Amino acid sequence: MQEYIIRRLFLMIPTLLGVSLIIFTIMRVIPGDVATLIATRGGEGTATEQEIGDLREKLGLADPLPIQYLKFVGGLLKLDVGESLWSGRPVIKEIVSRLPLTMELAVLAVLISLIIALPVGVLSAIRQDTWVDYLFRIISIAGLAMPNFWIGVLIILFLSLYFRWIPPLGYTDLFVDPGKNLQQMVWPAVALGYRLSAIVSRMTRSTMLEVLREDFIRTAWAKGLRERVVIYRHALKNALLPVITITGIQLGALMGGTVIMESIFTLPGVGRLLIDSINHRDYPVVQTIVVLLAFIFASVNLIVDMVYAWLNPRIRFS
Amino acid sequence: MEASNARVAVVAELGRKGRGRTRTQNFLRFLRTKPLGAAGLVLVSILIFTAIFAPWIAPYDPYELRVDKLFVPPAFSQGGQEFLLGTDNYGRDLFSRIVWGSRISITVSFIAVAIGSVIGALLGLTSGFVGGRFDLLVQRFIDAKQAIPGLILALAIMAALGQSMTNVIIAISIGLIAGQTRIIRSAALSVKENMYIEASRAIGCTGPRILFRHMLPNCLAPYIILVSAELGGAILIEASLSFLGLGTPPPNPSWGAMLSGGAQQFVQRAPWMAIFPGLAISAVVFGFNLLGDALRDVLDPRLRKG
Repeated sequence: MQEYIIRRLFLMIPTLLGVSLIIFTIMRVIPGDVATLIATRGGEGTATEQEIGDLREKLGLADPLPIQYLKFVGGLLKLDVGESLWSGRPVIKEIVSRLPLTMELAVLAVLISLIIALPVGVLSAIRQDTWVDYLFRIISIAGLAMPNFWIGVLIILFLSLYFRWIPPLGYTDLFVDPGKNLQQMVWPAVALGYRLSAIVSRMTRSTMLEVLREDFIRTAWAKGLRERVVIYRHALKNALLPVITITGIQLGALMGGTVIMESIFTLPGVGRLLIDSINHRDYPVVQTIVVLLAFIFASVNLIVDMVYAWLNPRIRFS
Repeated sequence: MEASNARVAVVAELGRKGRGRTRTQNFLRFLRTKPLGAAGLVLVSILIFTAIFAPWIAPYDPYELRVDKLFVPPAFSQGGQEFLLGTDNYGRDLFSRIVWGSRISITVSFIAVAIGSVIGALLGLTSGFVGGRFDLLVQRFIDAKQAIPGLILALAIMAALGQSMTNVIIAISIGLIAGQTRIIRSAALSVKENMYIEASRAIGCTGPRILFRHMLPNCLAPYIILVSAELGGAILIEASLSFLGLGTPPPNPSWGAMLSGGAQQFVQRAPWMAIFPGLAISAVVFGFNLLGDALRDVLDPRLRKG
């Protein structure tokens, strides 16, 4: 197991280097001249050659590209990537202060999706081809087609039309006022979790169907075990492995989703910061956030793989 | 070995299916055996039809502002007037905007998927065929690309390029390359092991000839399956970018953009503004998903019910 973890950690290094190179290329090479864009506010205003030159110097854009890239990676490793062009505060501080909200939103969304998806998937599988199964399958296929921002807008519409209530705007810290925090967080989490649950419940259903046809399940029935024990202790436990993997894979989509939800429900998280920074052309913040999100995504996938290996000895020892 | 057998089976299966039947017969058979796929095909056809004939279907100019007709409810509801799905906060006809919006969805998704999937397929094919260091390098880059969440990458590219429809297409197609490369590469790796590739090498075919005449046609099934799934996904990303104000710039009637701003601000006063554009996106993506699932069932024998 230890060897497996070490090997996977080493494999993460080229991946993260690749991520930084891709982001660097997108932000520095494609756009032509970032300094001109920033100084002229995206070509809307005017700026003198002097202003543009100064800004280029300040951003370190005057250096040759390889030097710029090394500085960028070095900054990331030292956790010091300079200041935001917009607020003037250190970029890392700005991001870290908003990270808890985004994490909370993502964790809540995963929890909600699992609470919905596992029972639905199991029920669909043990009642295969009955109306319950068809109903759940239609709901989950619809969930896959509905964009999550529309679900978010519909939730606001529903709450305001039927309850004359709109979630309190802004953000209250979880540890200051948990009740108010949940009132704000639960709806965006539901919007994200519903879509995720559609994917997870489909996976649960299909792996449950496979497992239920295995010999050991027949043995369990033959031993006269109760249905609950067969389904939950014997079948679900074995069906969960692919479900864990797909939940991990979906985390990337979930991050895109938090950007959207934070924008609909005006929550000051990392996603909101990303959109604001894009609008302010605050490039240091934008590229740091993207690398950070990729890092979190890669780490969580690593953790998912480890959990998988821990649960499944066949992988651990291969 | 198992994968290569499956590939052979696909080819054999396609050959068997084609024998004695015309294309029309095969198509009718698809409609009969895959009703959900047929429903998907209908939804997609409606979308394409609407996009092509938008000027004749839309009753009004999608950009026309009417200060005296703000927030008119849909024609079928109480207080409705001549506007089928009502008007928005600028008095523009919602139905006409949705009809014209189909053009944006179609253009962006089809072109983006065409560019992304062709580049991805060629890269995957070459990477699988050439192997060695080139393959390793390509694979490491794809690992890195896959570590960046899709929408986040698209946002970063839009931030760098600036807002325009062309840039949305570029952003989406770059995002699609990696997935396509990976799938085609694995198909190419198994096709490469086949006897006929060895045979063509033995009779002295050049590399490109083997690649394009012998390998490419046998990697088409996974390509088609992936493309049909990507079309729906591309529509979703375009809508998401426009919703966040970083996609197709206003006043273009992009479905995503129609759901932000006014639709949220006036959600109590004009709920139809928040409902219909979302319904359009969902119906179309639903159609592509159904079609994609059915094509996968037909083209991939491993998933077909015995």
